[in-house]
Amino acid sequence: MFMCALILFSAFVTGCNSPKAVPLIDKDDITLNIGYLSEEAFEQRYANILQREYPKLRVNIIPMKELIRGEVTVQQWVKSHSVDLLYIPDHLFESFIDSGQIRQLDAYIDRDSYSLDDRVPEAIELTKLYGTGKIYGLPPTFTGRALAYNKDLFDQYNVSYPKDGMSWNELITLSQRFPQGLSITDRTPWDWVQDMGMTLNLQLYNKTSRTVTFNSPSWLKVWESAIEPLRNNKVWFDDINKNPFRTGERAMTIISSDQLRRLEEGQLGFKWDLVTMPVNPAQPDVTANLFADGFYAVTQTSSNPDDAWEVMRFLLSDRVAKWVYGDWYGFTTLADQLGINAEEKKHRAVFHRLRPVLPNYDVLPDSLRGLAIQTLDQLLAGSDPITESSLTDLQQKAEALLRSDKSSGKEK
Amino acid sequence: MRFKSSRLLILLFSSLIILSGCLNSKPEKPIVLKVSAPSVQQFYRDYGYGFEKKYPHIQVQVVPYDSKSVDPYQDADIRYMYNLPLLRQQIEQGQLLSLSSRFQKEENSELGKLSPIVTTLLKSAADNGEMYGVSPTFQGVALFYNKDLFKQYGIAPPANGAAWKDIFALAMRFPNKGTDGQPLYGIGTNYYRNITLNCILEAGRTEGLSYIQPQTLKVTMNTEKWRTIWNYAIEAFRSGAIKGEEESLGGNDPSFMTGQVAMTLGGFSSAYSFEEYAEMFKVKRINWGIITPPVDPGQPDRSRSYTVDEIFGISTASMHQEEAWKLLEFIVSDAENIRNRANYRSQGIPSITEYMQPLSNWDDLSPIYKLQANPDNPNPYLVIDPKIVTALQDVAQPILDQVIRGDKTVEAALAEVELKGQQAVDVKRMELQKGALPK
Repeated sequence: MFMCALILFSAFVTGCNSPKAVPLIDKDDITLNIGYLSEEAFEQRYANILQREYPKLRVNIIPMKELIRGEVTVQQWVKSHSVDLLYIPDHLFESFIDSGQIRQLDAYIDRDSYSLDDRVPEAIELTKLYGTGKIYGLPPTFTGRALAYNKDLFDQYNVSYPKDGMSWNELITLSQRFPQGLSITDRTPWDWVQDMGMTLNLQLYNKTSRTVTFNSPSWLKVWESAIEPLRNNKVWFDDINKNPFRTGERAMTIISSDQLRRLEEGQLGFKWDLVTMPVNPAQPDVTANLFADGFYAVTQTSSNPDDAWEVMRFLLSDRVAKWVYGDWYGFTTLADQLGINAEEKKHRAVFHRLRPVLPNYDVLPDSLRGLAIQTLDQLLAGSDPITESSLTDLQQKAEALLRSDKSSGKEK
Repeated sequence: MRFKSSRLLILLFSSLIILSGCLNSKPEKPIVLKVSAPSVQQFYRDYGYGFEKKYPHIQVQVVPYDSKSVDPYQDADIRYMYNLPLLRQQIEQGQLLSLSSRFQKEENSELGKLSPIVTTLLKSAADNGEMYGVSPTFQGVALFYNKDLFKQYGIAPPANGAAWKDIFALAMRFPNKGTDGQPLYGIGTNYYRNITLNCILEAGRTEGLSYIQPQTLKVTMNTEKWRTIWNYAIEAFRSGAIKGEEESLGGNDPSFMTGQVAMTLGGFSSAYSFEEYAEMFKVKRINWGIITPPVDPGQPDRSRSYTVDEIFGISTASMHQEEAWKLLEFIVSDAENIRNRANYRSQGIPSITEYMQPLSNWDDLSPIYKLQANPDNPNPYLVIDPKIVTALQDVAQPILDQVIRGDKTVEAALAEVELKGQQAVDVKRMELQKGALPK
């Protein structure tokens, strides 16, 4: 019995004093270089939280402006800047992974049993899409788009409410039931046409082969769907600051995540709700409208990856999420912090209801975009139905332009 | 055997002590504390972050306070109140827990250092004299004066505990033009409109005079005490000692900072703004001094100028009253957090005034919190619709102007303000009542 007590006793003692590595907060003489858009931008977002959390840590913010503006390549930038931790905007994330400049984090996640279970799963899926199954960076926030609708107007016109995962054609049909159906504030008419094609995975432009596809039968169908509601004013392209959805004129509007709070706090005087963006009926559970503002990542060249990883985990923590509060950088990827009451949580859930896919198209060069806009404007000015020949005409002009750009050596 | 077993008992006992010590250091059951506050982010940065760091098992969740909402507090454990009348209302509705016994227990801790100004004000909100709320900061007022101007014109500068009558008299001793030919004033104000009238009303408020009764909205101006104030103030207005033009820029008027005004009332942040102004416009920083705000001559050691606008109390419905108390205690008295907060150029004076950061190389700011608090503050804006108060003032100012011009006697004016002022108040009240009816 005596021995028994002794064993118990020693077990307690060791239980209390299990040896552990020195936490970063107690370490002296540690300097971390963090790559961020600019020092002011970092200060704007985080103020002095790193100094307060790690009073002994020295932090240098290494501005990434020239890289983000595309003035230098990822390799050039990394070569001339020594950084431990990076906040990589989504459009550069792939380049950082492909050029091998950032560490795969799966081993760190396993080693520290760092749980991703409290994250929005779709945001984790997004980073895994970039990393083809592996995690190279973690997003503190995500952004997206959703369809908002005025319930009172739907009731008044006796139309059943929109649903999650409609097709664009269903949405257009719905918009025809109202004097002023759908408001779009963040796109031009041509961008909208292009959006609808992209939702259906239609090929438009390929940067590598320099080929363009305007005149496929599938594209013709997209143009056909768009022309009528544009001509009879069922789809409106509104000034984002006026936003007639908020005054109760338009039945529906497409909003991005940064506009949600304005709707919530706007005391709109009518009931409203949100559903997901339209989808491709062939893949009704995915969307190309889920993004990350940026991903935190540890560089390959960091001589102190463990401390960089610890600071990264802090920057992804719930305390930092509350410190940064607001939707300026998107919604937090911490599921628990996604909204402060049931209604806010319900709204934000819509933005990650569909699984993400990465956009699989290249941006149309400005010259071709100009041609497409011209064709659309001409069609809208007339009253004839759109035919194959209109798009064939556009296709021919586009190909001619690509050929002349090539021969004159002009690269876009 | 007996010996052995007793040793065994001791050993077992001591291991139990260690065991319990060990358990105590383990994380406690996590809880979420809901706090109403005007800004989610500001509250978290000022208090929530530091509190969660100190108490890792308590999470702070801020419920944004919206005064227009029907249910601004929702299910918050801690309620925010932006002034004493709102605190009083919450106490009377039975929404708040009395904190008095907790304060008594903590008398010898940091909480015991709480400025009596703050406790006096907070206790004044309850008829039983108990504390139902805490405030991490309070606002005070001081009279700032330009030392160089006083020296230049050989006038003895004002001292702590001056009355308005003395200050007006002092103001009249300055010439109307400076040596540079620019206009010079004894007193500058931060009022936007009805400037001279507001000078009189402020002098009355200092002495605890009310001019409109909060419940009945009865206007009172034709009294002996008001007549005394009108008389000495009008003399100063006629002499041009008070900057009173309507085109005044109100709170943005820089004339004190440019040396065109000898004295002005200001708050805690004014002291900093003088420095900032000089830096921003690359002008010489004026050589300013600071004394207590003008006092009621009947009670020269007390001031009616203190306010609290950041009050927090514990909801009687809270399931986490112990943790809520920990947060209140932290907000008011955690030294490290207050120091960190001061870095943000906080908006008020720390309720434990020893944490006030001295302004480098300058006069000490203690006159802002030197006087005791007199919670009897007849400021009508705290309890009456500002539209009603303004309607009264808009009628009274032209009558005052006539007196200043010499077209009317003070006696006639006081009677007229009461009569016409009451009519304006009644009309505005009717208007507002009509507007409030459902259409």
